[in-house]
Amino acid sequence: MTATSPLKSLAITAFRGSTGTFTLPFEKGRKLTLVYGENGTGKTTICDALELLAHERVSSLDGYGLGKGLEKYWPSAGKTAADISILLETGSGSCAGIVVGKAAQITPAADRPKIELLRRQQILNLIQAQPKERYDAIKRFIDIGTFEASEEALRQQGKALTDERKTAAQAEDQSLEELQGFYDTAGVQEGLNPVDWAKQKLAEPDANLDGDIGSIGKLRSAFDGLKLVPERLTTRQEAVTDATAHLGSAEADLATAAAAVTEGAAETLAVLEAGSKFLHDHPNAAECPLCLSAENAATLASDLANRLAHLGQLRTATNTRQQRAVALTGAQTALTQLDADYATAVAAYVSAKDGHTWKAEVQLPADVPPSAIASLQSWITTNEAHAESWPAVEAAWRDEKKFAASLKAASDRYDQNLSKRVELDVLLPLMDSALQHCVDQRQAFTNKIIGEIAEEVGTLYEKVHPGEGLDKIALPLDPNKRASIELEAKFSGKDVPPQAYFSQSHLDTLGLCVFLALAARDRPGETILILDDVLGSVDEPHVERVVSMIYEVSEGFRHTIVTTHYRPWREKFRWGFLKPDQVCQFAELKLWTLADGMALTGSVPEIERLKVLLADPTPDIQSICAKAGVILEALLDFITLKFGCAVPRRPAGTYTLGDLLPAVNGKLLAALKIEALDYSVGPPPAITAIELKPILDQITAIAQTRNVMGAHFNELAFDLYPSDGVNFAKLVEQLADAIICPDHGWPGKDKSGSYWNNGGDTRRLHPLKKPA
Amino acid sequence: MSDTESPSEALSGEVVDRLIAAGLLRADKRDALVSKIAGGEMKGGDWRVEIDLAQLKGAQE
Repeated sequence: MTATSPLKSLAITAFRGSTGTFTLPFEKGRKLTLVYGENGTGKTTICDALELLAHERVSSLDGYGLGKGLEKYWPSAGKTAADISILLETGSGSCAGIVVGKAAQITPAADRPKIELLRRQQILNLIQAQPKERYDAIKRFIDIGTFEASEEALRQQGKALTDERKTAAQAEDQSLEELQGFYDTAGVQEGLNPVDWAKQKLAEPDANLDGDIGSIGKLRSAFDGLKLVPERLTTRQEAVTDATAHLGSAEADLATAAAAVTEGAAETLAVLEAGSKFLHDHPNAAECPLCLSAENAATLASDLANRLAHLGQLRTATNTRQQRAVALTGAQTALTQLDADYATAVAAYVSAKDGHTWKAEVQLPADVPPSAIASLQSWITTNEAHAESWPAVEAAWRDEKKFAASLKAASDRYDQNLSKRVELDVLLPLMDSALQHCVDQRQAFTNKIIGEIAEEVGTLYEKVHPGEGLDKIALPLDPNKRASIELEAKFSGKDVPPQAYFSQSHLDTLGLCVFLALAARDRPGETILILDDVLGSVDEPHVERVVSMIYEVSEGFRHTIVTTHYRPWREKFRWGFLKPDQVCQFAELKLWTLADGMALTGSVPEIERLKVLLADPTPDIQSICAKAGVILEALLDFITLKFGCAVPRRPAGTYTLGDLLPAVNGKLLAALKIEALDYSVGPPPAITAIELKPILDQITAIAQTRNVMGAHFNELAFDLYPSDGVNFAKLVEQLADAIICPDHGWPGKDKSGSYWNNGGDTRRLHPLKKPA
Repeated sequence: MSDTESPSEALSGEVVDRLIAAGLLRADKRDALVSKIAGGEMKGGDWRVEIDLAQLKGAQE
């Protein structure tokens, strides 16, 4: 079911006043349905049924002190909830409602109708409501909660950044104080603030202390290296002396040992050792294994041992001597190496000294170390005082470096904090500006919508109370209270709450206008507008304007159902006096009975009744003449009023045909013309011109027929033929058909400026003014 | 405000257009920003980034 498809019928079973099944058919092509019925005929049941489908509730039961569980009053008398059935059929489907347990069940739920329902007892709700409740009723049109969440995030971000900026500024001040401390420590310099001074200080090329410190470290190391050389020279010279002495001693020992050994002993060593081994293996040998002599065999073993011992001493002395000789060579080499080392140390010193540009505070030896090691000590002694000053210089430089590092850190902190503060100084106004745009636009947006609603209310109210609506109704948002809407009206030029000065009728009208203005804002093309007996307290002079206003507003909605028990509306509608611009369905409910429940009854307009009477093959002439006479009076009343024709003045303003017919005369009579427009062809519509004078002349000629045949018992009627009465009635029918459109009624509007016409522009009555 | 547009969406559209005109948001991100703001999903950090980026883009142009 599409949300805009036309309604076809509403069937209500066992619900509220509908004891059986009541069906309200909606006539095709008619978006406005007027439901007339006396009190208790079931008008509200129709509204309740649609409300149940739309909202699963019945608000007509509210406010009567019925307590909770109002659903128990949903079934009609003698029925149960399970009997309830409501079916709305439309051009594209249907939507059904039943009651299961205590709840309504709508199928399909997605196709439930969208309705806007105003009941008579609710009409003052928006007028008498507290400002907050009034806001609640309107807020669906200005519900911008999610937007406000984003706006609030922007606001909070602005606050957070403001705090951040404050913190940054404090940190900036703190950093500045730090720099001030360094500045003061370094000694104030004319023309420089601490920040500029620090920048200048950190940018100074000689502020590069790392090179100085590194170089003086090398210099000190080189000098220390030189200082070791004299001691090493002494040590190594002594080592050579000692080694020489040791070698001499070893050579003497070797000579002694050699003397103890027989000549050539050294060559026989292998033989001696082999003999000794043999004798060791053959301890009882009786002869020399070499010469086989038995002589000296007994002492042979001990003799061999002695001779080998002497040879061992000689070997030891030889080894010692060799070792001492090696030691001497080593000592001599070391002494020689010291020369080379010294040359290297001198080169390192020269490199350290000459490889750096020294500051003035560094005292340096005037000359290079001597080439002769022997002279070095003297050079050292001469320059040691300079060298001893270097650690203090280095320490001072290290302090200066630490100072510079601390200064740089402080300067960097200052720069960071300054940068952050400056960044926020740029950003914060932008954030504030964005927030202000949001606030301004939100307020303008909300005020615009509320203004539009107020304007629409004023426009509608103006239709009913001319001069009292436009620019005189306002719904100002209370700036001091969120979600609160006042209601103001101008009364004698002053802004006042209308509740205080307006009559009940005016308040009712205002309430209706507020409701209609709101209903029209929310997808009216999908909305069924339901006005349930809202004309109750509108006073007589304003009823027609209220009805016209309702007719006009209803054109924008999917469908409009207006219920009323206001009988003049019914009569004026039936006579065609109160026809809406759009074609409209008129449904009349007959009196409710328990047995029949709700039912529709015919509500035939007078002209239709005349046509029915004329169509009777055995016409009732008296009835025909009477009905035609009444219709003719209505037609002449209309014409004489529109053109200000002169009629005899009488109490209560009652006029007879004898008064009215002659009043339409002269140039006016000659000029009276109807144009009937048929829009079923074209565009342009087919126009039929009908002169009224010929019809009125014929009617005038036989006007007495009405009184003779249709008003009283009169013997004169005996002399007339029934056809005379029928002719009279047909002329009246002809005149009525010419002037009155069955769908759009009488041509009573003069807004064209050229003629009178009806709402549908299907009848145009000429002239606009009575000819002079 | 169209029939299908919520009040928040309608307002967000107006606000974003105004902020773009003021150079506070980027025009090429309009629809995404409208959706985000209307949905209540624009956090504080998002606002800052978007305003920063709009400034950056403005400076580059």
